[in-house]
Amino acid sequence: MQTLSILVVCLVAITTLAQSQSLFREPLSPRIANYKISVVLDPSQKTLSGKETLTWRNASTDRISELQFHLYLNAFKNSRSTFMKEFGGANRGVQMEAGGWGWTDVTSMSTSDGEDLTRSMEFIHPNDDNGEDQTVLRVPLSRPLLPGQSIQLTIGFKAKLPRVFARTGYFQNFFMIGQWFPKIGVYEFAGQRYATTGQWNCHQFHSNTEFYADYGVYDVDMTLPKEYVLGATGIPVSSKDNGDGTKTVTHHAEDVHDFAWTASPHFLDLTEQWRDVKIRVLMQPQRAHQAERYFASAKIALEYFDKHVGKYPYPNLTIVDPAYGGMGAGGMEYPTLITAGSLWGAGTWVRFAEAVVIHEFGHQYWYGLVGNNEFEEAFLDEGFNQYTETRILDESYGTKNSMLNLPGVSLGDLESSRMAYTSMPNPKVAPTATFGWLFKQGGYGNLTYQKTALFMTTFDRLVGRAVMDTIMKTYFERWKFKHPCWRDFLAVVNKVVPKYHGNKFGKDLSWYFDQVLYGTDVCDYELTSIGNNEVVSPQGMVDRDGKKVLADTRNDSTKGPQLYDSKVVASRLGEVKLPTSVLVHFDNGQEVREPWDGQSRWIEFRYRRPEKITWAKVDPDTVMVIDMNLNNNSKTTEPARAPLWKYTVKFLFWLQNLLQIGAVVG
Amino acid sequence: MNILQAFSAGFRRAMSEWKMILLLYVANFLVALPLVMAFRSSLASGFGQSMDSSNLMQGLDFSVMLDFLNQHRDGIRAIMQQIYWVLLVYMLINTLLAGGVLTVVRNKKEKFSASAFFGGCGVYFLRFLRLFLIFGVLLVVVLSIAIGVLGGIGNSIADNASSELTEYWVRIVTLAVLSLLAMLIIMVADYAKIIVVAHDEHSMLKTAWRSAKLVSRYFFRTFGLQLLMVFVPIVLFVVYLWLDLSIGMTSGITILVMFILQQLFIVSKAWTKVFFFAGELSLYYSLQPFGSQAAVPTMDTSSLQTTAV
Repeated sequence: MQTLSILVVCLVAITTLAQSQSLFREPLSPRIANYKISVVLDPSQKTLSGKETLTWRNASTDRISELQFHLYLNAFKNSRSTFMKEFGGANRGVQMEAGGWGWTDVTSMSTSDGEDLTRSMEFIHPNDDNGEDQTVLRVPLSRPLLPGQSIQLTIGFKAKLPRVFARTGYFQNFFMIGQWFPKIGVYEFAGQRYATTGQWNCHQFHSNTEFYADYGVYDVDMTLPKEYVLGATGIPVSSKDNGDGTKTVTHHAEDVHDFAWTASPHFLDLTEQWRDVKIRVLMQPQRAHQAERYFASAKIALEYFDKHVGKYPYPNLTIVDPAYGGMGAGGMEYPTLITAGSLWGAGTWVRFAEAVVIHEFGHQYWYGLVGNNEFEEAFLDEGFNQYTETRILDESYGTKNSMLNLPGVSLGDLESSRMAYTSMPNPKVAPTATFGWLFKQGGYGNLTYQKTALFMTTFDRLVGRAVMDTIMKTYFERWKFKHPCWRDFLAVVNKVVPKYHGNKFGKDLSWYFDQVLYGTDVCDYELTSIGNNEVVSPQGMVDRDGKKVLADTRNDSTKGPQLYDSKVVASRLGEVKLPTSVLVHFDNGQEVREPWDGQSRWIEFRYRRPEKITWAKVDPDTVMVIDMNLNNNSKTTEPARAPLWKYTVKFLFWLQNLLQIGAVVG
Repeated sequence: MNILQAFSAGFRRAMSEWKMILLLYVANFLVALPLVMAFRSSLASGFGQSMDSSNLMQGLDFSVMLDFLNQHRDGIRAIMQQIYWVLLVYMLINTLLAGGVLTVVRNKKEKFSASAFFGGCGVYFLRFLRLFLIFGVLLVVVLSIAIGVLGGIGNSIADNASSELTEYWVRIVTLAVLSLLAMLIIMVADYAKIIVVAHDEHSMLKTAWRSAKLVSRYFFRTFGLQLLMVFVPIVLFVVYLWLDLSIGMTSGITILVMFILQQLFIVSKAWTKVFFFAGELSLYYSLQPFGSQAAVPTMDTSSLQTTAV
């Protein structure tokens, strides 16, 4: 009995220990790519030296004879990488400085049975003809990997971090370490996304896009000077003082598809709790006063997603405030770790800090939990995320002032998206559904982020908020921890919308998305004219009582109350066709709402009434925020002149001032 | 005379020259007017009968203004490009009027008269124009060099700054130095004009050099007066800003009230120009830097015209 008790205690202890290493009772994802990594950061040399054990499972029905890896730090190796060529040496306004280059070398690669693969490695460039790009590595296998079979590789690597230029690197002793380890690509089997045969989907590192990977478990030991504060994907499970001035911190993450970390001796380490999620902010000391804004906006985002999309499954979220010289690392997303950005003294009149936290947190869902291919369909993460950011920001801080709120000048998030899209020199430059690196003539940001936010908002208003929420929730539940494509989202739309609206929008909503996502046409509806003409009695000879008499309009006994022949003309100036309505307002306050399918080039509504039309408006509820010009959506018989005088007077004043200042030497 | 006395003398003189100030204001208004009417016309045709223009009453509705700018980009750009020409025209007019202002204010006893004012404009225009070119070029060259040097130093400090506070300070100091340099050059240009009027100088290079020598010899007094006087337009601007924020332009009445206040502010800037010249002139006469011939406060216009001939 005593032996049995001891055995039970031991079993409980072992189970507890095992559970302490496990975040979730059941795997949330297929866990195809699993990593154990030990890495040492040398802050003085800005280098990493690491050893990685990758366990990768062939989840396809194919025999796989090669593996492909991302080696994305090589994007920063020299000016001839595809990334650097695409950006011409500058990203987000930050220039790469001499000596700031970064790279990574795979020093060894072997299988668990001792086969050395190092010599057979070669760089490939699947997206372009740039033979000097070293961001994708191909490794042939001597024996094909069979369906369901796993392979374990031990990989040694050394890396030099770039000075923060874009996304990753160092500035002084601030380190933001992303895309740093040899990461295996995604093997897409036939039927997965658009694949018709099994194939590797392992793109080069591009200026616009960088994420697509399989989910797995990460156990990462990071060794660094002990005075450094560290933040990383996953949860910290141990920290050991090595006795030589360094420490080794171990993080464990489950069901994520990437791992990033940050370190600095200057971070202020702050934490707050939202339900069962621990929010940690690693703050630059001079901006301690801005931390509350990070916490507040993160909580708003958590609340929103929990209510409108689905549960955030991880126990923690880390928000990194980059060093001033390392702002190029700001505004980035990694699983359970995001980078934000703020400045000392920035008031709440500009909500950049909130916007960036809400945006990057949104990526925990659209990229993190729902793992679409950012390279090929960036609108599924960046665009969807911009749409949700807009909703959260405008609903939380005000539709007209969520981004900027100064006396007399304000700007909402949706407005800023409209500004970005409608102000494009050529909004038809490419369809939104273009591979990220193929926006050769520009427009990636505006079309992927902002146009998507606009057509999603338009769709939201078209089908209704409740329906839209159901769509997003269903999409999330169905595709979390998987790799969906646009077709999968559309399938959800086609399932949900008819359930609520019957045949109002048809059974297949492709007609909408084909125009706005795959097409380049623009949307512009116009209220062209309104007119009111008095109905007058006929002049000349009229038949009355069998006789021809001359009509006398002055003494016409048949004349009734004054009537007006009124009409409204609305036009479709753009090529995008959307159902809408026209609201007609009469001078007695009555209103008529005329539905219009929006297909024809123009439509005319005629009335004979004792009232005159005073104003009319096409799309009166501003459903079509994708409309290029909202000012032409309405017309009134009594336009307000005062606002025009207001800006005339302002322009006069500032011109007079400019003249006086400019002529100060005279 | 110390700088406070010069300040006070300039202030009193400027306060007594309303006709001249009104003239300067009208010149400013008329030069601005054609472009403003073009802008008004653009707004009127841009918004037409749209109901959305009413959204601009409460503040700058970004969506409304953005759609207007997108649709009328070319027209607005054309207006903005015309600003350069209008500015050039105004600079010339300002140079012309400066001769009149100095002719009037240098005469302590006489009040404004159109003949004296316009006579002075004609007499000094070409000389002031040369001064304008000399100091205009100097201002551009000096500021360009300063921006290059200070910007370079600032960038190298800012690039390695671990905190944005360092960059804030670097930029503030750079801006302050540039402002002081610009003030200094503008002040030397003012004294050059005074020397021309006081001594009937015809060599503008020599005058510019004498003015620079004057300022360097009496640097604390001349620059001290300049700094003191600069507070006046700054205070006026702060007052205007406060009124603008308090009143707003949200109805026909408040638009009218703000229009009047704005034009009063422009008048005050015209007043400031006279005030600067009068203050500097008072200090100049008190310093007697180039001998007794500078003391010609009662010279009348006819003698000026004779001299010019």
